[in-house]
Amino acid sequence: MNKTSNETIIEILLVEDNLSDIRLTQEAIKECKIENNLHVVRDGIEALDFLRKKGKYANAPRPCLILLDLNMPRKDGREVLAEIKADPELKRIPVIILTTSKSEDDIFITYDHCANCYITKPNDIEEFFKTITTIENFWLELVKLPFNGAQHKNL
Amino acid sequence: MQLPDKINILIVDDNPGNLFTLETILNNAELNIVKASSGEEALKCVLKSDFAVIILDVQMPGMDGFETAEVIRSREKSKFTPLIFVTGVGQSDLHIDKGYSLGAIDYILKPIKPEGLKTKLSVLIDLYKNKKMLEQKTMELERSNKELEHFAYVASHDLQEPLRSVTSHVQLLSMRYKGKLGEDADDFINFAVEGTTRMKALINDLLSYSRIGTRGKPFEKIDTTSTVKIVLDNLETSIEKAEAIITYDNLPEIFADPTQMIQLFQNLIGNAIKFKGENPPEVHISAYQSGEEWIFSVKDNGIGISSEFFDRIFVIFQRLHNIDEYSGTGIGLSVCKKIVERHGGKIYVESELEKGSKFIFSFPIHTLKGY
Repeated sequence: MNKTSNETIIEILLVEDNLSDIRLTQEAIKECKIENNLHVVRDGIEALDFLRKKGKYANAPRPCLILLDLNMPRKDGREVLAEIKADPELKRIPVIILTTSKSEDDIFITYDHCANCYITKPNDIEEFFKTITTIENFWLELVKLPFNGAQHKNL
Repeated sequence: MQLPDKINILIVDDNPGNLFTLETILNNAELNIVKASSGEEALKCVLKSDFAVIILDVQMPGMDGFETAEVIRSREKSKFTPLIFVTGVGQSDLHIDKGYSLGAIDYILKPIKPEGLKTKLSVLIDLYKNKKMLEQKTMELERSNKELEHFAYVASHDLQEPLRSVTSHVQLLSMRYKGKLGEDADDFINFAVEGTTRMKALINDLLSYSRIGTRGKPFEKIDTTSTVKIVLDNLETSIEKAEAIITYDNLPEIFADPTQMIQLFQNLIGNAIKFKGENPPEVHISAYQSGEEWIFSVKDNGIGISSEFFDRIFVIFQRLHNIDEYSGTGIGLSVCKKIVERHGGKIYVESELEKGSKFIFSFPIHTLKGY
């Protein structure tokens, strides 16, 4: 177990254009045991600005987990993923693809670009909440991450 | 495709004087007369445009009228263009026969009688116009059919997104506020949840219905006995629950879309179990050859269908029962109908209330020979 994760606030970045999905994710994450800050950006360009601390995101924290939707305006999730995983500064941040797409092509493409996992959003709300809890249990408690947001800031 | 403003007529003669005479006779505001002074030139014209009629001189240096006709006939585009040969008097019957065998629809003799030619031509032009109109109508129909299928697909696909949002938030309301807002509120929320669940089922069904035409797989040789075995496997739970007895004869090999055949049998056998009477369901599947068709049937001992509904049951989203009596959206049989029709067959039902139903569908055997 990652002990520090219980003591520091976990920074999570949600990249999602749909307001309804944003709200649902926020509600589900509210029920998480681990204290966290959920940051929301609405498309791929904003996501990369956030991660690279550009413009209005100059003071953005480094997230220790990214929840990435695939279909978005301006720059879609596939492009964002490819850029993150090609960037030595960002490539260690786990990226979880969280999308409505069940397309096999999307699954292949995203794993080819080193997505850390691919999850199709369940239609049922209880299932969706369970999914978010599972993400929390696995990614924020069970696995050892290369760093967390707070530690990184202190470096 | 629109009817061209002018109708093209090709006249072919090596003699400029004859061309001029023909043109003068035919001249008419409706026509666009194209002249060619040799067989070779005529072929070039035929490649470029579509002609209602071609009038060909038989005796020409180089490629003569017969040779030209042969090439014109061999090309897809001009295969059915009516040909009229022009020939001098005194030609033998043999000569004339050769012209007809090359697809000429008429022979005219020099010197040309203007009124006779004009009358013949006007009949051919009317034919041409009708043919063009028919082609245009067929194309429009095909296009609108495709558009409709595409529309159903896009509509059902794009409706999923907002529906998902409604469903999730209504479910969230129910999860968080059930029992906290009073009985009325609980009722209202429950109806909303049920409504979204049902709408989701309808949209999913609409999507799969539209996929039959747009996402169908090519036909391949399949053994329908194996298809039925797969289906019985898929339906195992409901067969056991209903204590159904399913029997089948030796079923033939046919050429079909394998997934759609599974869907077809599964819907029919599934229905036979679902609409069971008081006794455990007994379902029998058989097939026999009749002329150029395989006739399949799925017979049950279920609740049966009144004859007034025999057509209606195959229409999408038509149901004969209340949703709390029998679940489902009313898609199953419309899917069966669409699948059978995609394979060139027909489906219908024979049934009597409380005795059972027999769904009968045909598959043309020629599909089998065609592959």
